[in-house]
Amino acid sequence: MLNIKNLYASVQGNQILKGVSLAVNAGEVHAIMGPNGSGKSTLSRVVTGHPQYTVDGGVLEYDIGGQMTNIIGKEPDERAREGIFLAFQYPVEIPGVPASEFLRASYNAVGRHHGLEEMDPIDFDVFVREKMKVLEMDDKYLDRALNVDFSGGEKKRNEILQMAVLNPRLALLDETDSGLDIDSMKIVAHGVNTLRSKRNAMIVITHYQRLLNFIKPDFVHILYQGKIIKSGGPDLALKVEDKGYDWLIK
Amino acid sequence: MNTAFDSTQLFKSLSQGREESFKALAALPWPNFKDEDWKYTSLNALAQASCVPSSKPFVFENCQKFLTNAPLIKENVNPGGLFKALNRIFSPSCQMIDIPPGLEVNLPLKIVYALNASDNGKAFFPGLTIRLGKGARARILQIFSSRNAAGILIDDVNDIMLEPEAELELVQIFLNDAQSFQISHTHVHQKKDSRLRMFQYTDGANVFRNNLNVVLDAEGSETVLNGLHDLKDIRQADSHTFVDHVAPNARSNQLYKSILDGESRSVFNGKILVRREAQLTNSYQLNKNLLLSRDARVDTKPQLQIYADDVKCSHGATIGQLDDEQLFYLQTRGVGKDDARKMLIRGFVDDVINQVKDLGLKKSLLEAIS
Repeated sequence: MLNIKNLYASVQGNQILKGVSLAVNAGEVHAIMGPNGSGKSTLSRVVTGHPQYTVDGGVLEYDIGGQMTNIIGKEPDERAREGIFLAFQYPVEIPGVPASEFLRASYNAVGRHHGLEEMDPIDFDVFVREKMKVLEMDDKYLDRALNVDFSGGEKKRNEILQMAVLNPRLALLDETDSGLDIDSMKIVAHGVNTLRSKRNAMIVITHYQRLLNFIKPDFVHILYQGKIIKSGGPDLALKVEDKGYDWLIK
Repeated sequence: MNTAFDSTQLFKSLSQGREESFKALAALPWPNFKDEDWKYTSLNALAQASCVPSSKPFVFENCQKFLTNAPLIKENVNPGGLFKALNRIFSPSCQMIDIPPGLEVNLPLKIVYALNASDNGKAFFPGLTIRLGKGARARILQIFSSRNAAGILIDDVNDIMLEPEAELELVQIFLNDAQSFQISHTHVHQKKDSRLRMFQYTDGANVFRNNLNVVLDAEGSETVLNGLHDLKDIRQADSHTFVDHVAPNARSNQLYKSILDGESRSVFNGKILVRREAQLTNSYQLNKNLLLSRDARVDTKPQLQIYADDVKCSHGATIGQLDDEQLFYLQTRGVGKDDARKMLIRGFVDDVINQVKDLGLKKSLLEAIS
């Protein structure tokens, strides 16, 4: 589904990714761990097409209509409509735009691309409230401006709600656990797990092993200085939790 | 260089067939950028315009029974510079809406000033007076609609008098042709415990100037002034607001926003005067501008003059662009770039539009600007 080979990328002239390779197939959950500044968030932004990041070399391919397709240069919204989703580490506040209106615009933009009929506001309301229940979200959420004056936990739940609404094929979760207490993390992880299926894949970016207790990965990769220096199974995350990164780095 | 009014083409064209009083204006200076009130708005194009004086009345809906042709309310006619003097010469009497004391008018009253292509090249000087008697309440929509009338000049004066405890919500919408000129004056006089809530919308003109003066003349009066300049291409809009806190214990609140695309220009000049007697004044003012293009320009000048010592006042101005992170966020949810921009622009104006409280007025506003 996603094929990254020897990928180099920079932001504002600083090269951050220095030859990342990663292959993700449908049905798989990959965890990417690594110390601060190793390039984890950069990787998520390059895959989703942030305009400030430049790809300097390598391969970035994604399955579109059964064909592995180069997505370098595609707009973020094109990638999103093809089923790539990023749950932000710091969800952006958008004053004056009600969450409900935004969610429906987003859902319909993706749906239209796949030839689906637009959902009217009433049907959509029912559809969203179903999803909100799983995430134990407050009813008033839909009337509020997107992410404005949301607590850290509300913002993270909101990200997963959007993921549930869009039902992406490839979801990247960028430090979705940061700023969450253990109860909120369980709710969020539950939300994520209900979306796991054979047809989709996830890349979970995290500092800590604890999220991986709730969202069980098939593969764990350690990103360091812009490169994946070690890959393994779930045990690798436990080992990192126990020993830190030092043993991998030297 | 300062020139006199009578050396302009505008003067020559207007003076034909006019009485002596018009000639008396001849020696008045023609405003230029050295004049503090006209520092950021050039009147060169207007000086070159040929406009034949003409007249057309306001058209009223839902308000026939309140109409009178009463003379001007004297105390409200302050000297107001060249354009106000011109209005008074060409429009010696004005139409008036007089809402009797104690009456609450539920339906929004509608006042329309409509011009069309057959009015091209003409000058209009409408005058309107609105008075709300003691304790009266009304909602009024005033629309200047001259989308297809090019090269016109509208020089209008609107006098508003709110008697004690009167409450008015007023929405003014200015829809001009890109090649037109409008100099609009609205003077408000508020008495004890009266309330005004006002919204002004313009999408600009060749020259659009809005002068809004509010005098809070008695205790307990409150005024809420809001506006939106929605500009593109080479359009221009200039709003000058002046709130005069004469009496103690009065409140004023202003929020003016501008969206600028293309090579448009927006000017906001907001002056708040708190006189020595006006203790316990609460007065706020904010001007926010969103630049969508590198070639657009904003000049904003909030001013506070405070002579009382026990007041709460603040003012501020911001100028910004669409936020790249916000755009990226919306795009990662499948929303195309153009739609994402539109969504952010709508978000920017949301709070100021929501300052219109009457749902009927808000609906009319949204229809007019969509």
